[in-house]
Amino acid sequence: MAITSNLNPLDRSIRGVIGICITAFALFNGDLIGDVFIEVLLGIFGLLNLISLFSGWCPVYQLAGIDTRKH
Amino acid sequence: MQQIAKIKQDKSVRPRLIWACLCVALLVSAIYVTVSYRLTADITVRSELKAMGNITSLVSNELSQLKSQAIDAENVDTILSEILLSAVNSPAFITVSTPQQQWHKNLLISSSERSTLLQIVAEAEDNAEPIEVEDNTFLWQQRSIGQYQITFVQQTQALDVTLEFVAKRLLITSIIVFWIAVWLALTLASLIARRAEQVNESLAYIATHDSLTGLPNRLYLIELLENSLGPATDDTDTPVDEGCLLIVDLDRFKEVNDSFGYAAGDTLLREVARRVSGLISAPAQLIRTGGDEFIIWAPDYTIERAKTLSLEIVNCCNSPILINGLTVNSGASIGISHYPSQANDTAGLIVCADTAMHKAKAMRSGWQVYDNKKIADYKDILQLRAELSDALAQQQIILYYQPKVDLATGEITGAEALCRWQHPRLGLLGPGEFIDLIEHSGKVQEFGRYIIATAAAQAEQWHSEGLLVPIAINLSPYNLLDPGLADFIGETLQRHNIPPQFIEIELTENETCINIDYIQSALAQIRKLGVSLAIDDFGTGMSSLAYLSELRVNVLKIDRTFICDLTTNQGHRAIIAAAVTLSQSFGCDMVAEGVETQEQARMLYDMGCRAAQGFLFARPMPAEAFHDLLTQQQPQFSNTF
Repeated sequence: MAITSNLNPLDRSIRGVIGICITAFALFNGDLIGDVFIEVLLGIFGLLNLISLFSGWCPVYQLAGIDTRKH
Repeated sequence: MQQIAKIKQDKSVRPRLIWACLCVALLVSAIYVTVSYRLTADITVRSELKAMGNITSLVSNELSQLKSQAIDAENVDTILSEILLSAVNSPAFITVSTPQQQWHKNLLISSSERSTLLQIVAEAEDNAEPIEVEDNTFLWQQRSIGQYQITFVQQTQALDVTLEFVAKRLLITSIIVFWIAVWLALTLASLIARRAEQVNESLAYIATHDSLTGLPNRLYLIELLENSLGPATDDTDTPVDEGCLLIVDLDRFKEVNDSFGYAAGDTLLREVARRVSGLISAPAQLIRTGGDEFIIWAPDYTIERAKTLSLEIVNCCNSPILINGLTVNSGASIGISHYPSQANDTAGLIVCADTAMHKAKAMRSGWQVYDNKKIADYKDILQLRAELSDALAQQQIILYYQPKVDLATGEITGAEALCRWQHPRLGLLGPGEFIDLIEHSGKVQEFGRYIIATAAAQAEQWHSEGLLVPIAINLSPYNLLDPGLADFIGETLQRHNIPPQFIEIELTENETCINIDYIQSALAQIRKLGVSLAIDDFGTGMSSLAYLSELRVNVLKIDRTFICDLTTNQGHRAIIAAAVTLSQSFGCDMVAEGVETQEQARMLYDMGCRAAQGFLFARPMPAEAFHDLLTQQQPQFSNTF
C-alpha cells in the first residue's frame, strides 16, 4: 500500500488541529483523565491524526478508496 | 425502460451503509455506557451497604456490652452519638428499639424525615435498592440482637460519586469508539458500494448488450432514442435536432445458417458487425436488435448522408466473407427513416425504417428511404391490429351481399358475401383496409370460421323465408391450411340445416398456388360435402392452367380488369373468349365480375358468359337490403340490359 497523499488541505488541517489538541491533552492532563489506558488510547488517536497532518495521507481513506483532494 | 438507468444511478447504498454503521456504533456506545454506569453504581452501593453493616454491628456490640441495668436513655444516646459522629459524615440516623422503648439519634436529618424513612424501611423487603425521599437517596441496614432492633439509615452519595468517577472516562472512550466506528463505516461503505457499482455496471452491460457481437441491444437502443428524441426532460437527455435510423437486415443469413450451421451464422454476424462498426463513427451507433437485424442510430445525419452510409454498408455486406473455407456474401437490405421529418418518436422511426427495409428487400434495391409522408399511418395500422380481437368478439365484422345475376333472365342466381368492419370509431371499413391485417395477425383461421358461420346463419334465415339463394364466401388459402375447416363447414351446414349447394367457397387464384398439394386435399374434402368451389379473380393470378385442371372447381370468376375495358381492348376480349371456352371445356360456370355498363353485359352475353355481377346490377348491400331485393317481383334485373 503506497503512501500517497489523499487529503485535501482543509481535511488535513482539521486533522492537524484535532491531533495536536488530543495529543497535548493526553500528555499534559493525565490527572484529569485518571486512567493510563485511556491516556494511551487518546495518545494513539492523536498520533494518527498527526501522521495525517504531516504526510497528508489517511490509511482508512486509502483502504476505502476515498480521495478528498478531488473534491 | 428506465430500469437500466436506475441500476446505474443507484448511489444510495453508500450513504445508507454509513448511516447504518454510525447508528450501530451509537447503539453499542449507549449500551456500553449504560452497563458500565450501572455496574459501577451497583458496586458502590454494595460497598456502602457493607460499611453500614459494620456500623450496625458496632452499635449492637456496644449495646450488648452494657449491663442490663445500665441500659437507659443516656447511655444509649452516648453510644449512638459517638458512633454517628465518628463514622458517618452524611445525613443519617440510628434507631434502637425494644418492645417497650425506642431511642433515636439523628445527624443532619429532621424528625419528620426520620419517621417517613422508618415507615418505608418497615415496609421494604430488601435493602439492596436505595430509597428515594424528596430527591435524596438513602440506604438502610437493620439488625436484631436479643430484644434490640437496630435500624441505620444513611443518605448515600454513591450514584453522584459514580457518575463523577466514570463519566469522564466513558466520555473519552465513547469519542474514540465513535471515531473508530466512523472510520469503519467509511471503509465498509466504500468497499461495498464500489463492489455494488461494479456489479451494477456489469448487469447494465449484460442487459443492454448482445453477447454474440458485443454490440448494444434493443433495450439500449430504446433508451438511447428515448433520451435523444424530443425536448430534454431530465439530466440524462441529449436531444438532437435531426437524425437517421437505419435498419440493416442481412439477405442471406438464413441460407448460411441452414447450409453451414449456427456456428457459421454466428461467425457471419460477428464479421458483419465488425465491418459495419468500422464504417460508422461516433456519435452514430450500431445496435443488434436480434437475429440478422441491425439498427444504426445516426444523430445529426441528413437523409443524403444516410444514403451514402447505406451504400457503403451494402457494398461491405456484398464483399465476400470466408466461412468454413467457403466465401459467402450475406448481402443486406437497408431501410432509412428520418427524424423528425418522417417520425418523431422511437416506435415511429423503427416502423418507418422497417417498412422501407422491407421495400428495399422486395425491390432488391439495397436500400430505401421511407417515402410515405403520412406519419400517422402506421399508428392507425397498429391501432386496428390491436382492435381486431374485439372486432371478432363483438361481431363488428358484418357481411354485405352483392347479387350475381343470370344475364339471360335477369334473375338473381346467387350472392357473394363481402366482409365489412363496422368500426366503432372509424365507421364502415372495406376489406382492403383490414384483410391484410387479419392474414398477418394469426387470427385468419378464426376469422374464416366466423365468416362461414355468419354466412350460414344468413342462408338459414333466407331459406326459412323461402329465398333460395346460394351464398359465396371468399376464403383465403390460409383458411384452407386450417386442418379442421372441412369438418367445421360440414357441422355448420348441418347445424343450420342448409343443403351444401347453397354455400360456395371462392378462392383467389394467385393465392391457391401456395402449398397446392395440401390445398388440393382440403378442397377435395370440402367438395365431398357438396359445397361448390369457385376461382376468384381468374386471369390475374400467377398460377398455370395446370392448376385449373387439378383444382377441379365449379365456377370461374373472371377478374374485373378484363371487363372494365372490354369494349375497347381487343386483347381482353380475346382473353374473355378464351376463358369462356375454357370454362365450357372444364364443365364449369363462368361469372364476370365488375360489370358496370349495359354494353359490357351485352357483349359478355354474346360471348357466351351466362352470369355477371357488378355495379350495373347492384353494389354490395346489407343483408336487410338484399332481402328486400330478393322479395321483389322476379326477375329483378330484367330491364337492366
